[in-house]
Amino acid sequence: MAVLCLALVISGSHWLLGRNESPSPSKLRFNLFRIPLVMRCVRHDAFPFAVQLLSISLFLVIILAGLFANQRHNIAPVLTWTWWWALLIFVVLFMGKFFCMICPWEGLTSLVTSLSPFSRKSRMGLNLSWPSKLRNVYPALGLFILLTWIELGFDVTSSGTTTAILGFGMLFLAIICAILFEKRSFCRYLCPVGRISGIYALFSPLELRAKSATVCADCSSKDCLMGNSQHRGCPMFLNPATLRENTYCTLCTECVRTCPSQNISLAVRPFATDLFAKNRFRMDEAVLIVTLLALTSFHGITMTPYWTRVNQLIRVETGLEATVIFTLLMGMILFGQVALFWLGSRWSSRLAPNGLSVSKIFKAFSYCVLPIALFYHLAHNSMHFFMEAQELIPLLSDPFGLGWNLFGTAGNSYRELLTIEIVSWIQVLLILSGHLFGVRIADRISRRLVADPNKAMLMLAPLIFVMILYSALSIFLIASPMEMRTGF
Amino acid sequence: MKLYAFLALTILCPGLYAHHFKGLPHYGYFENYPQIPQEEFLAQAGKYEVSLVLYDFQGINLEMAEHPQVVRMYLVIYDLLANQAYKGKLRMEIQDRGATVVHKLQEQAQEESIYAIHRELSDKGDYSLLLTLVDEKNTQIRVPFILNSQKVHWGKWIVLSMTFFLVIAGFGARKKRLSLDRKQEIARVRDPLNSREIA
Repeated sequence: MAVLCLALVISGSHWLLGRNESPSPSKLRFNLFRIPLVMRCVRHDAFPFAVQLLSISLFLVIILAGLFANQRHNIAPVLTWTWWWALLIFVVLFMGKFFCMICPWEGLTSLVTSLSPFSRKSRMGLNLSWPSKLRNVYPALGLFILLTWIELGFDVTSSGTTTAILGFGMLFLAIICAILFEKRSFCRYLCPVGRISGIYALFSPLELRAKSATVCADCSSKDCLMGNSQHRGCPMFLNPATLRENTYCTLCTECVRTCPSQNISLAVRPFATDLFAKNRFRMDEAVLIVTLLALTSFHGITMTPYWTRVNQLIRVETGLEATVIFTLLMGMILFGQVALFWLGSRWSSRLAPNGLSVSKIFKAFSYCVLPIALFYHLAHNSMHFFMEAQELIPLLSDPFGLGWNLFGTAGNSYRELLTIEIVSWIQVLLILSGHLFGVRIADRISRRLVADPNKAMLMLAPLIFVMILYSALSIFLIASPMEMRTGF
Repeated sequence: MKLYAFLALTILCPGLYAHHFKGLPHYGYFENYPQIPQEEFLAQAGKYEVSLVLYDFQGINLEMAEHPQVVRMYLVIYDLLANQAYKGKLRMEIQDRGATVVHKLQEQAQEESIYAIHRELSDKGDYSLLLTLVDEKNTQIRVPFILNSQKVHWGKWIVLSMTFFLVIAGFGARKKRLSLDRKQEIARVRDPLNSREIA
């Protein structure tokens, strides 16, 4: 009943919001570097290491706890999966790629390869070019699918040891890539956390851009790109002077320290600015977005009793191993959701004027599915965080299970941060917000592809229907009973 | 304006929160149920799945325990087709290399469909638990298990190996970079105009 009601509301949203105006992308910005203290801190050579110090320390605590501490009473899983993984998406929503700025993997890799905490110039390695056929997001997407399979298939979230191995494994990969390849190839092409937060960061209200195009055009040294004797150029293969989107910028602020004209701004802007202004579409990013939506809803599906029941029945009927059944079902669900969007694109292509191809429509309109994926991810993670985060309080007093009681909270149990009623309303509002943004972005993109508004609307109809299905699935999942990963 | 109208419509929708109570325990769950054990041993025979959980005192203060050397086993037997737990008569045998160490007949399941058996076990054994579901035509299920003290902690070995590899790779990479820098410097000295960056 609730799902049907919301589906009706959502389907009316497109007409409620109206399609009369076609405003240009917002120019509203506030440059945080106008605050002198902020500018001074960021331009200091010690800034990257200073901001990464806390995250490096926490990372080392997780590794130590996961490998050497008591496995029954261990801070590693809660700190990683309930706090870091759940909060990461909220950080991306409000602060873009802030986690990349403080990333412990990048921090430790730089320490190892530059042999210094303050210099970011690599003093070791072969500086090979990343293979040209892999210069896209597919390697990171493949790694993310693999990690999801490991996380959900082998119950990593409750094990300190496997959490520590996964975390150290990512560090291992990062260092090997830094040794073999030039610049930050790992961050650009392989890191799943970076690529996911990068694509979500198109929505965020924080951006790093050049202030004045004229100043950049007049600059002959191009230090932000080429580097100089003190600092390196952009390690993410970007040209800060012409940067237009957040996707690949990691907020490392190297360009801020390098630019001789102090022509870089760190600005606050309206939400979804990059998405509303989007006019270049990439197939690899499109596949990433749609697969990400499928993966986040898959997370939710695996926590429902329906999933458990289906697994049980298949196991009894076929006698197959649980891992095999899980893999097959995961593949079917992921493929099914991506195929659904492809079918929607195909249908739209038939309704589109001027012979727009299926792949062009798939590429372009996948970006309007991004808010739906992001906000379902937020809704799902808000349940984990607000219902499970209190588990950290007793663990802070005894993080390694050695019988300590540092803050007097060891052995106590605490209520969840928010009640289930409040969490469920937060989830509903998040999912509806994501859908609203998705519809608006779809409208904007359709206007760019098709001049006639009526023909654009007709072309858009099948994809709006697919988006409603995705949002209805999200609502259904949050309304379903959930088997939580800790304490239940 | 239209946005506000939409949001108002949304708020007036039937409440969803009631559905969230399905499946979630209500009363004092966090106080009554401490942290669940991390590892369970699973076995399946036909439509029955067995979940075996051991308490052999990882993490619990031995000084405060009544019988610290006793291994406590708790199991639930689940009928996957009927979607309910088995609660009938159960014979449990702890076996070490096939030989029965102890056996127990439990007439019916305890609270929450649990069967329990306790025994002091040495960490040298090769253990399994043989279950006979007496009320289900003596269906037998074997659940192999190991004690925490018998586990090989692979995590430390994996991380140590990766660290060792990184150290070797790091030394090699530094050496290679110094060699490349030297070649580049020599090229620059010999022919400053035409020397090119060696990658």
